[in-house]
Amino acid sequence: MRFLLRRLGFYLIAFWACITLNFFLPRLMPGDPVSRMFAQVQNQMRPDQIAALRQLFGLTNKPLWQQYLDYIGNIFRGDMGISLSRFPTPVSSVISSEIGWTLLLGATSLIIAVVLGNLLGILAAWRRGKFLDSVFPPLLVFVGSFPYFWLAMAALYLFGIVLGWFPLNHAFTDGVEPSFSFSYVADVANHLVLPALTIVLVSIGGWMLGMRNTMIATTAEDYITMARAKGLRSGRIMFHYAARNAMLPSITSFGMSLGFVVGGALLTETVFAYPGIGYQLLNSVQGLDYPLTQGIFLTITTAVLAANFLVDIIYVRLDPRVRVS
Amino acid sequence: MSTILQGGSDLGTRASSKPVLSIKNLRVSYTTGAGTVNAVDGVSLDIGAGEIFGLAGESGCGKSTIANAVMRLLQSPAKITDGTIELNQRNVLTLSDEELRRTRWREMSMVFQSAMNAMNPVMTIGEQMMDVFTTHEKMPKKEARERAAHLLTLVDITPDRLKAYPHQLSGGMRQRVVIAIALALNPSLLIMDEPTTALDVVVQRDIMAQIKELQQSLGFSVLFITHDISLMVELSHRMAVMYAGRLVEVAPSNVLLDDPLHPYTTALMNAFPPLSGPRTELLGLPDAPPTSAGRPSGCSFHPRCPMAMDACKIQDPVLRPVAEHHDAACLLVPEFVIPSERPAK
Repeated sequence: MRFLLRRLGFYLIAFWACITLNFFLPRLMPGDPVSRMFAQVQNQMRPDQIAALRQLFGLTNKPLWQQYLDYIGNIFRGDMGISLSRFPTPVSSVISSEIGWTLLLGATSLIIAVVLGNLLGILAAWRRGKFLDSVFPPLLVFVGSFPYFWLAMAALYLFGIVLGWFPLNHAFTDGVEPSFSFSYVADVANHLVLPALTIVLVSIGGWMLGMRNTMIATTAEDYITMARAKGLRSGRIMFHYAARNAMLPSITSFGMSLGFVVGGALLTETVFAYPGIGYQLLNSVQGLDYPLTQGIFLTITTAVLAANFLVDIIYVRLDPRVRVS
Repeated sequence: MSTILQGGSDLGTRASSKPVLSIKNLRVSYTTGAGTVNAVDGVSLDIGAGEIFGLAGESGCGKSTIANAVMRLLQSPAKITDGTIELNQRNVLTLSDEELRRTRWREMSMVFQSAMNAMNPVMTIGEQMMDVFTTHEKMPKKEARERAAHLLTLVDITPDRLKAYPHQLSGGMRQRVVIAIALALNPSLLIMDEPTTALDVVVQRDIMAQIKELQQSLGFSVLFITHDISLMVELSHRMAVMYAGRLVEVAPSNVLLDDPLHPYTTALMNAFPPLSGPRTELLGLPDAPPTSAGRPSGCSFHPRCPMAMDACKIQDPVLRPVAEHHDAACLLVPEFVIPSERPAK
């Protein structure tokens, strides 16, 4: 418990550092968003409009520390400013309208890849040199080394166009009203298959290889020999003794990946025209939409910190040794 | 405590009844890129019911390989190429995987070299004790927990430590837990492979005394492996000295202590200080034992032997009786029969 409180304290400090950086970085850049909007509308803006916009974006002549405090206050009220590229939608609504899809796609594919990859890795290491171990790692590494967009387009062409099994784009069929009905959920799942499948295909090899290698190192440990000498059943030794120890590094990587899920999957979103944060981030950077960029960065860093904290909690449950340190 | 550690007085006679473990002509070879090495080269030994049998020798002489061969824990590149290992009159080497799994721990159990790593760091010691009962005796969890608690009290650890993880215990406690786990199913043979190497001398003696006590009350046989010959002499009834994959001398421990016949045994004895008694000068043994590459011609000990003769370079001595309950493999032995001519220890 004390360990977790200490970790929580650390994450709060890290979070504060993120907010602070997020506040100062754009202010170190030349120009301001209003001048940019002014340029966009070919200078057709009255001085009082400009002043109003400046007020709206918080570009006041208040001292920097005052602006900083206002900024922090706004963050905690969930107010991240107004998007420029989608003016006058607030940044928070832009993010919240997309984050659901990003989480759905990212978390689904990550969890499938981690669970399947680790299971394959465990089995491959346990039957080292046998069929699973000799066929899967090279195959998955081969698949994983394709350029992602190529693989995604090939999948889209084969399963979407030639075979027609799955829809070509979007997260659900146009015109279908979102609801909690079975048909809507099935429609969403159907749209999810190809994007998720391609992400799983390129990432699963890494999970499998990582798990396989730690697992092989673990099976050489004395406690595995002792477990075998104890006459325990093979399955119990494999999962309770070997995999239970070998999965610890995997949990750490899982936490890291989980945080970055929030950043979206830009290539997937582009190829499958799937809604999500990745595409918004690209847009915002290209359109010099500082508030949106900042908002997305803040969301990503928060998610990474939260995911890491989650992993700490899981880790304490899985590895009793960290409880004392 | 020192009375507990006295070697048995009924020397050598126990092996004559039906042996618990009978190894015949065991050969284990390691195949590496550099060639095949016989780590164990035709070893035969019997361990009687309730007997503590010690196996001593330098690192790499093949003692642990014998232990692992008996448990059938050898892994590639090690391979048993010849011989039989009979445990309670059943050949361990021909058991099916499932028969082997049932035999392990129920009939023979093992205390490993390092208690530090012999326990799973992410499971409580209670769980690691209980899974022996739940697997082998299909025991409900509650009963298994009671049995585990009882086992802990056997080795003087309070049952509330069942919830402890291995890292929360001291080295000595951990080794005691491993011993308790090894005795869980009341096996007829307990193999101890350097059980106290990682512990300090005081803890070592405590644990050995405890093992001796438990052995006397439970009656299991012990194959005790160590390079610490003074510890072994105190604990075991009978012992064998191993050199380069072969037994070079087998005798009741106190006979071996007072009357070592093989020059290698003498050298080993001189290399360890006695735990009690007057200070004596320690004599090292020059050079190293034969490496994997080549076994010397004739007696493999002759290059290091202070008493080597010309015949030792040619003739390979076999292990044969040289007195009652006393075997040795040395060409010099017949000359040592008259006590006054034996080399001073």
